[in-house]
Amino acid sequence: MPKNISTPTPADLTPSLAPQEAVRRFLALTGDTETVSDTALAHFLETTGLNCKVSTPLFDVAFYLEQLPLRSGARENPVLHYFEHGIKDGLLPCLTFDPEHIEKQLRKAQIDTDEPALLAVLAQREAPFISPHPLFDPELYSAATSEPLEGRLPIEDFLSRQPYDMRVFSPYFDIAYYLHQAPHVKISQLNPLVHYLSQAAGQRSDPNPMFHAGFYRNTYDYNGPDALAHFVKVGTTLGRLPNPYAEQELGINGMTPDELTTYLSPLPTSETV
Amino acid sequence: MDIQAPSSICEFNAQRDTNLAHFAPGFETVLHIFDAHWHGIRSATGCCPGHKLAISHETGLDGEAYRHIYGIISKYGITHIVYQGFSWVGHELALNLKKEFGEAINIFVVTHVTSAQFENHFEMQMQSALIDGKKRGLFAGLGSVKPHFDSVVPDYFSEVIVNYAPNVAPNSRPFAVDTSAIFVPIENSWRKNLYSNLIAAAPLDEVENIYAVNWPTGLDQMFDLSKLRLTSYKKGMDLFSFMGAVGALLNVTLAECQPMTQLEALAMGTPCLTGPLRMDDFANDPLCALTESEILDNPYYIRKALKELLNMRQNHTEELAGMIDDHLTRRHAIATQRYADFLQF
Repeated sequence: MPKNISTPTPADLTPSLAPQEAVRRFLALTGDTETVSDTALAHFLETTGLNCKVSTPLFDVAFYLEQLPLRSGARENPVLHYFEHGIKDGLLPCLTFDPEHIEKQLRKAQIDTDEPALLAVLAQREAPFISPHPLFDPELYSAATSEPLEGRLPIEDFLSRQPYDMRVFSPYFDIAYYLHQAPHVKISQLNPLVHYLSQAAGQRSDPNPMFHAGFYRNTYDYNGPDALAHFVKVGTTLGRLPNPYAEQELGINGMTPDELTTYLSPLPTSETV
Repeated sequence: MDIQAPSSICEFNAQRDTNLAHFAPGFETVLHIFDAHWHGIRSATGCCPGHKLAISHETGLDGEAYRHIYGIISKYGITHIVYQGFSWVGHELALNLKKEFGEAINIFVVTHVTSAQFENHFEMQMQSALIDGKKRGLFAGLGSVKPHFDSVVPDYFSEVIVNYAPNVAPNSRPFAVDTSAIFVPIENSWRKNLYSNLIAAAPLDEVENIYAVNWPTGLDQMFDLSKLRLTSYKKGMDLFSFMGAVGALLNVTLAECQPMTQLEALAMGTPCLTGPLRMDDFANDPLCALTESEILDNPYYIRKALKELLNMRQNHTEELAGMIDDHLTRRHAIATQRYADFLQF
């Protein structure tokens, strides 16, 4: 499992909540209750390592502990550790979590909060939901889901769904294309996004037919974990190319963020031939 | 940041290959692959319904180009690939496409060659590769725009693939036409027969100006070429406009399949004299009877056919325009149905 280092957001660096109060808020948001008693909080904080159970897949205890130095996690409560140290150290609560992207979503939705990003995502229980990762679109996923979410966030439903069916979750992630390259993911019905993100950086199969990760890395000297997510977050606004032929196909006027999104979208379009 | 230009030619749905195309339902999953430098074939393919991909036998295809082609096929759900013309680069691509996509794609090849061109041995090498590929199951079908090409290679589809004319908007046709001018847009080669065409046209009283893109070197020593005007090679709508502004085009060549020059002229409302194309689908078509010279290497017969054609153009304008429109309507319907049959839709 790769180490995923993220950049803390300004709100994360200067949390208004003390770590224990952040844990209390976390338990309230994930436990479907408004208040968490001191006793319940103390009881939760006593659990350490893999014995700590949380009721949202947005905090993946095993994944989080793997980011900690060898065996040190066994003595820690992972949620408390996350709010106390993890955020500042750039650790992630789960694979599908990107604090920078969340910060951008909050700004876009004009939600003024000084809560840590994880709590901000958990708190927004109604549409418009906060997207926790550039490659997960909660609105698109909700539209593709006919059954009610029953109080769960789209990302929680998405991460809990096992085996994973083929429902769409991103305009950038072409499930059929990804499964064509990684047929074992299809056979074992794994969550394709989780599988993709769990592969080592630079060794991931491209999840979009029109995005060439190798070209992007080489051309823009990008060495981060996920070239596609970087392109979605940064590259589109800088007019970067998703492949060497994009400019020829779109023309220079077609290199706007919206045009690029359409160009990369695997979803059916009205284009006729 | 300067981005290095791609080293391989891999042009997907370029404007020049799509803006004159016809639309036909069912062709959304068809991808035509052709060589960027083979201009006649590229023009013909540009009029077909379906997606278009230009590659090059000169530059080959590198890893990025392969990656991009795979992405295009996946994104657009391509099920039918139609090579228009064939090269070794195309052959290698076909092998790799079949390896990557297996039964999900069917590969067809349409050739635009006549047996007269086998003097160029490359053409026979390609035919050999196609026959072998068909036998091995690489290709689902071979088709030709030359009528009865299955008499040359029995593995070919028995019906001829019919070329479309460019899908030009009717209001693109020029308002002013000089019906006493003719246009000879052919190169100066033995096969293209430039001298015979010019010798045929020059003495006609119906012709006042002859526009040619090549000068018949030496002919002025024995022939009055005072009507001849040398003009430049033209492309795109510039070419179409020029075609639409003259009385007729002259394109009587010694070896031909379905010349795009003729179809481009017809799209602009101008008739084009050719050699006998022998298209069974148009055996009783009055336009074909009027625009095909039976004898190719004798200017007397070309002149006779051109005189008749210009007489129609100058004195029966509406009737000729109706013949052209009827021909194009029928041609496009046949072309679509023939492609559908060939591709086994």
